[in-house]
Amino acid sequence: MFNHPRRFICTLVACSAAGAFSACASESRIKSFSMLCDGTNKTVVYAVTPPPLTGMNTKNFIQTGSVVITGPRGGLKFLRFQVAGHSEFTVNVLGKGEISNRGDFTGFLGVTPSPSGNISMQVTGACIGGGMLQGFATVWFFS
Amino acid sequence: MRSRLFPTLCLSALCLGAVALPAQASETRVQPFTLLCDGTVRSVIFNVTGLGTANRFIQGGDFSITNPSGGVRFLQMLAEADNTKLIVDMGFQQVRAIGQFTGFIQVTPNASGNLPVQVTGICMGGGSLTGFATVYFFS
Repeated sequence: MFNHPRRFICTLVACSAAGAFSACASESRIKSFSMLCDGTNKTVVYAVTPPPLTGMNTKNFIQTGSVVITGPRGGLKFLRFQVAGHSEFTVNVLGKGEISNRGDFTGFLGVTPSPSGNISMQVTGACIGGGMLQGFATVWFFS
Repeated sequence: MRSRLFPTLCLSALCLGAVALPAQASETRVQPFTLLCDGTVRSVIFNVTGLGTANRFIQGGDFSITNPSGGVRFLQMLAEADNTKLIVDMGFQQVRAIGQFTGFIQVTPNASGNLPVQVTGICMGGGSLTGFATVYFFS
């Protein structure tokens, strides 16, 4: 197909230019959550609707995850933010007494959405002090 | 005809690439803000200016609180007041947060080269919380 070097180089440049303009947008999905602080592990699962798949992609790409605690009660023992049921797709973690954490990946987590186009996210953790811990879990998609 | 068309297309692509590649310097916009601390959700919207009218790419943002009053419960910074464009957030009693993306949030300034940014949050203790919100633009 590329029997002429100039044609090959031109095509490469064109693709680079097109790529530079199109593959740069990120979108966030913010979710407030609450968790009973009785010292035992609790899990919250919810669905997010990621940006539509583009091109030949069959996966959405998670580039960042953050958790901020707005009402810590007696404090966290731990918290893990992940794709539901998939600890291999952990987005972020918090440790004892922490209030927030944010992680930006150099690479991305490739996650296949459900047939309806959603991705289930999961917040699992434990907190103490009684009452309800409150916070926000946010995931950013790269598209 | 074909022999002229292809070099023309290639030259156009080269120029496009040349424009795209050097425009990668970062710059910041710093904005002081004030939020009433009555325990309810409060929002302020300010314009970051001087951006031109072409699409811009936000690479990060930060909050630094100069007077927390009774303390933050949470703060969020949203580009274009759009909750799908969260730049950075912070939680209970925090006084600083910074977020830098691997990718970018694409935004479109208005015809005057301004971009609205919303700070939303809750603080406690009465009086007013004050701080600085900074947005980092990649290009």
